[in-house]
Amino acid sequence: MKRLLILSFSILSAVMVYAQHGNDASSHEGRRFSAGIHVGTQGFGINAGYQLHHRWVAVLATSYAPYGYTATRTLGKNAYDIKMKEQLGNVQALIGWKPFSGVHTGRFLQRLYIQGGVAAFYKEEANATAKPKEDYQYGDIIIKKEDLGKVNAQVTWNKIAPYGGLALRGLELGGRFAFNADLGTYYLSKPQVHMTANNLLSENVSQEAAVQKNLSDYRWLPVLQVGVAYHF
Amino acid sequence: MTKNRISFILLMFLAAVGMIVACTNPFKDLEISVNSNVFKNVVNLEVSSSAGTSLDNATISISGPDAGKIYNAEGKKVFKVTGGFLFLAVDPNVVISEQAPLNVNVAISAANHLGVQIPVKITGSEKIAMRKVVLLNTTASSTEMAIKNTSVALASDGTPAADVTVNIPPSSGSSESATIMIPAGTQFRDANNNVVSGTDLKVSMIVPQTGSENLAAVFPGGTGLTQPAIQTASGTSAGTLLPGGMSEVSFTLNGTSITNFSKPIDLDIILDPDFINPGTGQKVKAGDKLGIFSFSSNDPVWKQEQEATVQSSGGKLTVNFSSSHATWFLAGSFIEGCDNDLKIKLTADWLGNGITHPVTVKVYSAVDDHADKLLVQKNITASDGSELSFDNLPKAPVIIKTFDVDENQLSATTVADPCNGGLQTISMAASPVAGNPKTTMQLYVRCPNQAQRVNVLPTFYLYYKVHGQTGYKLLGIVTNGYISTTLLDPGKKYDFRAVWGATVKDVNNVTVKADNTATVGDNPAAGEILGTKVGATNLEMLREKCKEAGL
Repeated sequence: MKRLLILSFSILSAVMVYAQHGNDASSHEGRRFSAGIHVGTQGFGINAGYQLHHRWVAVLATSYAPYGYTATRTLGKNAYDIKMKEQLGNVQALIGWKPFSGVHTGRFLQRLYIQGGVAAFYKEEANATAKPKEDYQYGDIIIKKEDLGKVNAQVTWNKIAPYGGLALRGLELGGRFAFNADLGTYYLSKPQVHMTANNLLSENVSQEAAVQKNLSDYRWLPVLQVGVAYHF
Repeated sequence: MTKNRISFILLMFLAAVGMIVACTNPFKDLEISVNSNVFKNVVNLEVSSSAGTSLDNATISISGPDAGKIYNAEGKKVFKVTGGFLFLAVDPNVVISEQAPLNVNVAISAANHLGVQIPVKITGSEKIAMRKVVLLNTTASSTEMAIKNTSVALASDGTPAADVTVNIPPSSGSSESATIMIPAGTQFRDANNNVVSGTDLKVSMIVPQTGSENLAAVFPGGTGLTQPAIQTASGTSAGTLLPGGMSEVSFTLNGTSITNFSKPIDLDIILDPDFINPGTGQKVKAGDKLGIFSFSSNDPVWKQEQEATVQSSGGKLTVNFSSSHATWFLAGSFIEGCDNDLKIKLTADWLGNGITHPVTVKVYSAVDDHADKLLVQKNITASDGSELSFDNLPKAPVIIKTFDVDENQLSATTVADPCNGGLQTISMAASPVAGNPKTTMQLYVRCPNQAQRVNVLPTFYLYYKVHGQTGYKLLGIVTNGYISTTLLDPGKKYDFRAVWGATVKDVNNVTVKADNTATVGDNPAAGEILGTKVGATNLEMLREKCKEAGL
């Protein structure tokens, strides 16, 4: 996730510099429709925009993000390999409002929108599976780590979440192509944690309340993404 | 105006970032523990003495083809009777089944007791199997066990100068007794067949009452009257021995155990007149033929040595035979064992909702639809639907009875063919001592310096007795700190004893409530307990166990 954020931010910075130059060359004024692709923290996706008014824009987008992450942590006496897997897929409906539109406003600020809307998550899974990293010694007995079992935590949220943020839309790249960027966040429902465990780790489902408590603040899902759109 | 809007946007952005960064570490306070009950199959031997003395100093030896797969509760190879229990656990890496069982021999010996060798077969059908083992005290007679220890003076060459007769009279209420006659000039030999010299021959004789139910618990071989292997003229097979008379004869000369003699000694065993001879279906009578079987702890398999004819002498029925070795002798009948185990399912409406009750299941031989000899028994902490199995039962009808913790009979079922391999369902009537309201006991443990309670607790046996009385009785098996029972009367005071492997802890004078929740910890101000005895020791033990668990 961190690498993706840095990558997205770098692309965003580079393209914005390029687009500032592009702004001087041409304009998409008069073309109300746009269709584009995007990539960022919520994965990759496609979007469509419609300029309702010179200060209002409507956007419909869909994104899909499969994330995977593996870490080793010591939880209690033993170390565990923790494999985290997240799949997020949503459809967004947004309205954007342009706060700066005066003739004396800079060209960059003229492309800045405050966006709000709602997303429906058709895919929303977050799983973490912990498996012992080492074999376990009990007295003189060595129990293979494969036989110890595993602990799985599944986190789910409500499928509908509001979204708010900022967007740069229509930074011209040349021809009818333009650069878009989004920075915002979803406000998710309180996550629900369901833990399962087996074999010699089976009793650890009692940790569900602790994980639930730890994740109770995980309600802000940040979005940073960049994309290219074609105007027509 | 423009500056205000930019400020608003920046403020909104910073607020969002701040909220995201403020999230708690998802792994905070998360402890994943490996269950301390690593064992999938456990055999708990309840070891006691026929004299009621403690056998915690008994010597234990595990042998047999699968001995290497057996550990104690701590996963070690040190075996000890603790609080009357010998805990045997199967290496959890070993997969066992009824088709691939484990077989070990458990030898238990203690001072002033006849040592036993118990064959233990672990099939996995019972995750926690319980068995009672009683060692015969050779110094204490009882109404069901006549014991005689005497000395015989030998000549200087270590042999009797004349024929010597030793008689052991019957115990009270019994007619069974035995007499041996040692011929003059008999030399006494040890296990290596070396002649032992000395002049003071110690003779020990035991005659059990063969009609007693308690015989099964002390019957040589450790599996009751049903045995996994009995040698007969037609070969070795599992089977049941029905004794009409028994005697154990042993000698010690100059501190050395005598195994055999240079001349056969004569034995005369007076039989139980009520013994039903399976060969005739009638009470034993003169002229009947009975098998003579022997059993030696050096080679712990019952062997048929010969056949003897029942004689009537002085109004008593006897068998007379001779033998050149000292050992257990049995006059009776052999019934071949089943090839299939008898599987039993216990059902009881009063054991629903997670309530458990210690149930004893006894299998008797059947004579005219009446229970005759107790062949074998098992103990189980039963709930509705609990299953257990018996192997090596005789190819003959048996009667199965179940009893509650106070020996109240709950059921009696005749099984005409225990060999059919089917599942026998037995419905148990409500126990009169289990009529109390449901009582639950939940034990938590909190390690010192830890805010959270331990989430995995060991499984242990919990015993109880009314406070001030003697003799603990099994309450049941506590799983992850929880047990539910109707054996306790809310409002009464009880003493409890918890047994886990080599650890025995007592908590006394506890007034039981319907819901009993307690936390073991070091904060008495919060109501935490450390036990009513040796609290400081318990705290050290708690610290040590928590340290072992990394908590």
